[in-house]
Amino acid sequence: MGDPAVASPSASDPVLTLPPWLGRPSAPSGPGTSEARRVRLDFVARTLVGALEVVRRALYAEEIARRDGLLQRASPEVKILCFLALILAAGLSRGLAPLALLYGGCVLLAALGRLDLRSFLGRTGLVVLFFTGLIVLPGMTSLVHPGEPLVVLVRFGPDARLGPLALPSELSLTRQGLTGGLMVMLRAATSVSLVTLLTVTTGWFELLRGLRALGLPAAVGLLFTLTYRYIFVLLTVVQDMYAAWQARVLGGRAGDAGRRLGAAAAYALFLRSEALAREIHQAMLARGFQGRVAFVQRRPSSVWASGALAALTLLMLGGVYVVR
Amino acid sequence: MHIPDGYLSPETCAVLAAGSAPALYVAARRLRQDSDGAILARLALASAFGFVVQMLNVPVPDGTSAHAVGAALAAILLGPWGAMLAMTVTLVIQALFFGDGGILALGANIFNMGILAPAVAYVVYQTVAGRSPSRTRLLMAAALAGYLSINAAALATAIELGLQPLLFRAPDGTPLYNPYPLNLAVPAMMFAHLVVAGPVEALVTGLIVGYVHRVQPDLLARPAEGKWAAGAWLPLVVVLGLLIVLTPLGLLAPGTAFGEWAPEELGALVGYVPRGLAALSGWWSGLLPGYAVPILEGVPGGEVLGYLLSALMGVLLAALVWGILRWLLLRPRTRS
Amino acid sequence: MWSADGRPVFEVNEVRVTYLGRFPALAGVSLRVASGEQVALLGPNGCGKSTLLKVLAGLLFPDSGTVHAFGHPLTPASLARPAFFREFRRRVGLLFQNSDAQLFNPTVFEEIAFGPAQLGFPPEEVEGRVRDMLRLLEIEELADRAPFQLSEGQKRRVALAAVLAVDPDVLLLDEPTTGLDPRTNDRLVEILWGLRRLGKTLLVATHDLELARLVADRAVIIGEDHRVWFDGPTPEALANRDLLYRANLVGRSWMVRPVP
Repeated sequence: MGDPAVASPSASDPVLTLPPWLGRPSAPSGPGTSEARRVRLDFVARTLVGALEVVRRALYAEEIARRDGLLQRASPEVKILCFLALILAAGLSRGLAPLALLYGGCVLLAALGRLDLRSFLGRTGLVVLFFTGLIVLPGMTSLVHPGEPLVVLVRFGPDARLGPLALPSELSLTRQGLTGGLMVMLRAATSVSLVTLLTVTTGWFELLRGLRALGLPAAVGLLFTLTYRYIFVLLTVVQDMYAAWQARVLGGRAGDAGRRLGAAAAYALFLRSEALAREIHQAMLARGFQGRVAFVQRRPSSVWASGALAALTLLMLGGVYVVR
Repeated sequence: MHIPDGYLSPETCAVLAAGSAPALYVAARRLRQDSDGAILARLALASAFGFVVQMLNVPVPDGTSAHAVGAALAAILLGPWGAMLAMTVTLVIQALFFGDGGILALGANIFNMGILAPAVAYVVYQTVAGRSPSRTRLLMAAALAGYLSINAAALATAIELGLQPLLFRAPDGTPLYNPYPLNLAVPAMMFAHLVVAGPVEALVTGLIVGYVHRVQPDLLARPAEGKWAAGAWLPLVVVLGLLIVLTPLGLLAPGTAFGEWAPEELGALVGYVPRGLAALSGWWSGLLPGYAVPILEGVPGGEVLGYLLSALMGVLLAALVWGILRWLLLRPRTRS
Repeated sequence: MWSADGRPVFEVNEVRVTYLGRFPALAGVSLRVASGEQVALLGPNGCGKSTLLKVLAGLLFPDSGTVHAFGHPLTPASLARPAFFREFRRRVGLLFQNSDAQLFNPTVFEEIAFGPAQLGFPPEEVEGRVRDMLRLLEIEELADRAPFQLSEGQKRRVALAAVLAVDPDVLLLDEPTTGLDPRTNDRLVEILWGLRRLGKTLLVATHDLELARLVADRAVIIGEDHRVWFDGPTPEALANRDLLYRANLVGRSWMVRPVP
């Protein structure tokens, strides 16, 4: 057949190409029009980067799902049940020890799924911990909840006031606050890690098959399949429009033009969605679709791997119970 | 506004998921009536559309860019039920595939952004737009629908988050989930949404609806007859809202209302406590005894807040029961 | 009841189709296609070729006029009967112009399996047919890939495989060569020749005159007024430069070419 891109099932995709200026969110300001230029490129770049991120994730998931690891070989139903149980356990835990144990278990599972641990820990661990930490940080202080002070941050003195407000005598990091904050951080990180693991080692379509086996109605499963599939088609509409717009804008009031682009893109998307929906329906009819769904192919899964995963999950849950 | 996991207790999420279920069930029934896949294809594309629309960034006047949630847009273009389903599908895909919003928290996110926001948007839009609106009125309706729907979702989110430290604490006082109580969560979230995110949503919704109206007006949801007709809901909502706001006035009245004495009070008034009253009086204390939320006791204004919350809860519970009864009694029995 | 035996496969009488009540797509088209014929529907974009194919496939219904397939009327009512629906869908395959619209399954394998599975073939047979189609279209290595990763040529191959998997008696193709790379184009023509040898009925809507010349004995030209301008042997149509030019099928440069 001669299509060279087919030879290696890698992430290099012949259909969607990367414009060369991506990665630089704001263009170098030209003389005299710096403010306007930055606005214009910012929102275009953000949209396009966002769209590409979707595609990157999809390709990444496909790649990981193809690797040969314990998680990949386990059946999707078992994976869904185990991971859901673990997420629930993280949600219900009321102490730092069980949460730490669960997170550790996540990392172990990531290794078993042949993921690159460094990038996994970075993306789902550090990033989540950091941003969650930032959000809950004020909650750790005595300003939000009185509690047993661990670290005194500021001492105001017994009768301190700030205008009409009476200040507390000291502002400290409380033990309860710190514990609570850490719990939120660990829960968030564990959940994100588990969900990521689930989707990248399973792939979206296999995941839907697993959900169907667990009782999700066939029509709903088909709905999700179609939605996921056509997100990528609609994304190309956005990419085309935004990229073309950028090439044609020469100056002037970028804000208004940019907003009109957004509206036009949304309208184009809507039209395309409607048109595609009509055609897809006709295509399905043309191939004999009668309203009932008959899924055919199942990726073979290993009972041994599923069993091992289930056992590992039970072990972790048991550990959480013991340590709580 | 997607809440990640860890901030809400699983119990809260379960309650909200249960709250979303009836609406989703009704909306999904239309899917089942779809015998040859036409609605299926439309819904799938609508959900994909919802997903991609959330990625469209537009420049905002202050120089940066922003994007919208799109619940109002979905409601105006797809109708309330289609919007609920489409937003729900979008939220599930975002949570599962992009970690945008937690898995357990899906119950809450779906309720806030998938059920509440589209419903509010649709009612506002239909009410303000009226029967055959001028272009200006239409745009105002769309913008207002966007603004109010996003803020309704934000308020719900803030309340859900703010209730966590009230209801879920370890014995030593450690807040187990979101640490910020109502008096911090509500102002913080509402400020951000009333001042920043709300206007953005209004802008994007108005912009897109305006464009569609200029190019293909028949795409927009037609004013509906019957229970969604303009004005039907507005008086009810206004009255209820006023009543809820005024409930704390009860705190001003001294003493106890006639016939509602506690056993001790009765004993002081008439000299003895009836045996039956003494035996049964402590049996049922309810969820919020005295319309006071326990942890708010020492907080200034806590009593008032307790009253407001109790009133709100009461109204919602009554509406829920009424809705269920109505559905049970009025649903079509046979299908021709 | 289903064999052609002299009866036309398709019989279209004065069919009119209008979009949204305003835009005419077909303005009174009549056509008769016999079993085993290869017909090229020629015309510029927007003349109504796609619409006609969809009408023949029972996906669109005319505002006026009648359509008969295998002697049976093609109406929403007749297609609502499950037995007729199944038989008709198995016998008539349509390759859409927009590849994206007809690749709606998660993997290539499932896409090809969709038709047979829907029509109730047993699983082993389904699997066998899929493997055969993968081999025929030379896309075996794509079996587990998702549709959005494929190039236009690959998508077209998958779509064709999916349509052929149920072994239809009639194949309707809507602009099959638009945007195709030459090698895929060649493969397509080879397959169409093979189908011709098997006695299949082919209707190809296209503005690619070369394809018409290679594949079809009979040409039906539809003009921009959405009516039939010509219905006869392909060589005769292709030799009539004046007609081709007026029908917007060729441009000026073609007109001054020496006659081949």
